[in-house]
Amino acid sequence: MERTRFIAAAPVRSASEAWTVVSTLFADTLERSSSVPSGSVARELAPLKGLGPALIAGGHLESKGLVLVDQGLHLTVFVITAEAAIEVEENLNPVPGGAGATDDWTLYLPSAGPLDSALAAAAKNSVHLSTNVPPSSAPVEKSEGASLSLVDLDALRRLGNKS
Amino acid sequence: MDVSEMIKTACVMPDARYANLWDSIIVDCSIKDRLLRSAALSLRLRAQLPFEATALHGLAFLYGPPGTGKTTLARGLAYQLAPLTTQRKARFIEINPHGLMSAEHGQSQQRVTELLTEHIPLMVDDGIPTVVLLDEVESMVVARSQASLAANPADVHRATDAVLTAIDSNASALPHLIFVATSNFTGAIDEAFLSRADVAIYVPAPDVAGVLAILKTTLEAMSAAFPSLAKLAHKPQLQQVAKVLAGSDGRRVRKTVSEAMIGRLETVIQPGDLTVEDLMSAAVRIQQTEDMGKLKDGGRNGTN
Repeated sequence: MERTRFIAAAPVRSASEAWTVVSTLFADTLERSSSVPSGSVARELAPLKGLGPALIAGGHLESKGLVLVDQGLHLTVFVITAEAAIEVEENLNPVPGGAGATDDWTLYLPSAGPLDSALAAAAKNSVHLSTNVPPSSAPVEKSEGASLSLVDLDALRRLGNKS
Repeated sequence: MDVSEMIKTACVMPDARYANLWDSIIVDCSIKDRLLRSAALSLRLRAQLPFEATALHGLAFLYGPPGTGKTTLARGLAYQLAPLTTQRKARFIEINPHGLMSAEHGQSQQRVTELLTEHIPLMVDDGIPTVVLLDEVESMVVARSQASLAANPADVHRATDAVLTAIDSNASALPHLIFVATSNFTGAIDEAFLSRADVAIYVPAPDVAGVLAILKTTLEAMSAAFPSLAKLAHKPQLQQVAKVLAGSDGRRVRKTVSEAMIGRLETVIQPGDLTVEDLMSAAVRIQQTEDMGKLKDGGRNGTN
């Protein structure tokens, strides 16, 4: 399911603080999964430490969001400034779908004019960052086994024997 | 108010508090079978097939007169479902639908959307099969075709839209999520909501055999403190009491026992001295009161 979150930047909070909020949202969402170790998301986002606030300060995330994609997860985050930032209703809770995240999650970075080369350089050295166009929806689960086995058929048969 | 405050209960089965709920409701066994099987089939099919193939929304609807055990059955469903799942676990969440409706313009829709598309999906993100109870759902999904804008502001109509949208989106995205809705007033519920129900099960007032079984189990349960009531539970004359009470709701039938006890001071002091005659007098009193109530209503509640 595609989900969208809006985060307030100036004048509610500085670009640097807003980036911390965004990074924390990504970490809180992904690290609910046992496949994503605690602290790993912050490490993966470290190359964006200066770039993230620059994207926000330049208003690049107002119309083109950051897109986090994994199986069962498709999250677009916009960062809003000016008057709209005061009125925006933030939801900073982890995003549903994160508990099933894999270690193959990808954060797609939007095109940002003068920052494009720096973004490309950050993405080049990371398996989790990308400057490609994000997919329009979350990829389907790779292993069907997990979803196939919600019901224990033997237990169901035993239920039939009882009645 | 935060939407998390709309969650009345959230727990994972097996939980001992829920162990006896299912069996405590005495209804035709086909009612329980249909409810449990529909939940199991919903989990089985929706996990394997796309919505386009199953057309299953993961919504069961229980309706019928008040006091017949609809809510208790829904509360007991997760406990029954847990041993049928591969994880041997099932979560139960109960929502307070009344709390979702706000006097503030636009708030009802916003709360419904936040609760059903953000808060609950986050709670069930661990993949544990989950039953969500929407009790007295008529307060949440008002029939738009019958409601006037004067009596039901646009906000209420939009809240109905929000529920429908949320059920649609969760149907395919969260195959381990099952909603069970209950209502006494089917005529007040939006048609589009009813059409989304995978199964609609009528829970009727008990017949003579049902009333007799309820009386027996109530007396047997009380015999833990007053052993002579166990003997009373097996008196053949209890059948006559059951005949008088047939058609009363299950809750009322249970209360007949305590109603009989307050008929005499002696049975208040020593409830174990209760007799069939005490029960019959109470049953007649209750029946007369119900008849008077029906006369007053004049068939007003024809939608029940």
